[in-house]
Amino acid sequence: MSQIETFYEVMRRQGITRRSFLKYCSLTAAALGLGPTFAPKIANAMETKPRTPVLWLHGLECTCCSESFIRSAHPLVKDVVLSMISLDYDDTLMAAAGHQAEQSLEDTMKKYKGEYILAVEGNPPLNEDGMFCIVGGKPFLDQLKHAAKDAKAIIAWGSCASWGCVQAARPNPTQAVPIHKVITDKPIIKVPGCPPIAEVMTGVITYMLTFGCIPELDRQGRPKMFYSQRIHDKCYRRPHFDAGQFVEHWDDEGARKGYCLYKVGCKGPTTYNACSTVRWNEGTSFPIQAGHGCIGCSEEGFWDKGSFYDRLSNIQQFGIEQNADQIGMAVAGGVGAAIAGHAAVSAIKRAQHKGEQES
Amino acid sequence: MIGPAQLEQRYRQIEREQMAGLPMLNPALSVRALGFREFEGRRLGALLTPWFMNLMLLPGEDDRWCEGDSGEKRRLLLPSGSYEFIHGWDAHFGGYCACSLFSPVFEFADQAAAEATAGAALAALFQAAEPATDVPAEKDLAGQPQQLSRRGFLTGLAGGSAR
Repeated sequence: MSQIETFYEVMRRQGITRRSFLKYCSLTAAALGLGPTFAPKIANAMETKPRTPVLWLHGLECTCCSESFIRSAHPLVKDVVLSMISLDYDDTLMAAAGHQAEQSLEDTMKKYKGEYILAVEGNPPLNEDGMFCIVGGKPFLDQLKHAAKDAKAIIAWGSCASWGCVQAARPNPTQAVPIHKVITDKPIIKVPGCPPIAEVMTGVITYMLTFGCIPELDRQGRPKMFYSQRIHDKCYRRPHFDAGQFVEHWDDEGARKGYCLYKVGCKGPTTYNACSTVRWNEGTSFPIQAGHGCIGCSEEGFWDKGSFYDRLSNIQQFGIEQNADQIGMAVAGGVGAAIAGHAAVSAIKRAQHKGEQES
Repeated sequence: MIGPAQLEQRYRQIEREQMAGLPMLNPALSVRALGFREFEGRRLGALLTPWFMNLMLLPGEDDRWCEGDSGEKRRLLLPSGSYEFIHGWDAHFGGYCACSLFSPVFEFADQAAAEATAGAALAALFQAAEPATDVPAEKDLAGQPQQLSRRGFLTGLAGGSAR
């Protein structure tokens, strides 16, 4: 390999102790659902593999993905992952500015040609030749295409890069589009959410470092390890749904008893994300636990699906269509035991808990 | 103690009352408790309704599951792997634990298909774990029988501790 430092070297230079490092490895193994036996593997990869250069571009976005990422639960994530993944270019976080910053983008692209990961936060607007988002005097669209050309893999951070999000909501005056509309020749890992959960973001990156490949993706391009279950599947209020106990109005008896929020607009039954298992802010809580329904922020076009407080009523086609890892068709009695068996085994696999540590 | 028959009765009542008219219901399906069997002093089976299909764990004699447990999660180690169940409480029949397989259940065209799937799910549940294929390096671990790990032994014995 070249003279790129390993993660471990970078980390030691940052004054991080080995004990903290190993703690991070085991936490990450748990977050990835791999179990504690994988912690040494992660540690080994970080000690021996050269750090992965990451270029982090910002298009039309609000920086909530960056905010989420730098607030990862474990204090080390900030130090370890941020310095280790080597954000060679991130206009929010890097020290360089102006021409110097744009030069560092070019330098990194040249130096690590074909080796770097391109992380994209936000998306490009296509209208007026991309004039609605200018970076360094040029349309973001150009920068995105330019940086994608020699990238090893591309991560679409958040709902903007993955689906378009609010700037692509009707009538979408700037013609903002998700990045897969303009980058068509590279694998794109979608990590949707507004923002995505910090542990999910660092987990995806750490997986790529450890195993040297991109994680298994569903049909929509999302990592299966974090997006194969709906909020509804693991929601702690689920027993109330099953028993038909709903919050009918805000602050009614049911609300005080912590009943299911479906009738006041919760999108949990159609939203694929890890909020009800990983939760937020070091596993403290998530919207439903705070008494508000899920708004479905990690689903495509969630701004255009009516009010956050509208009850889901078109769940029928939505539920099946969106269920990327399922059978993709109705299970009819006449079709035979094989399909029922396949549906059953997929359901069992989804329900299985892979990590052995506290979730 | 509550059995499959009472469970069916209770959820048919919920279907008629609380769930009436909600778009979550698959009209092709009806409430059915399936395949309940003894498991470590408790009973485990599948509950199919027009709005969900769950694994249901009913308490054993020594369990003192109460309303306050509702929403707590517990791990259950089965031959095919570890599963997370959520505690629930019903005013009529008391505490139980559930693990969601499907909800909503629109992928099932008819009752026979849903029941066949529930049966297949229970069979798969009690089949010994095969090596996982979704993680590249996990092959190394295939030789370790999961149900014999110390953690598994202890959590299995204690029924998994809810945190």
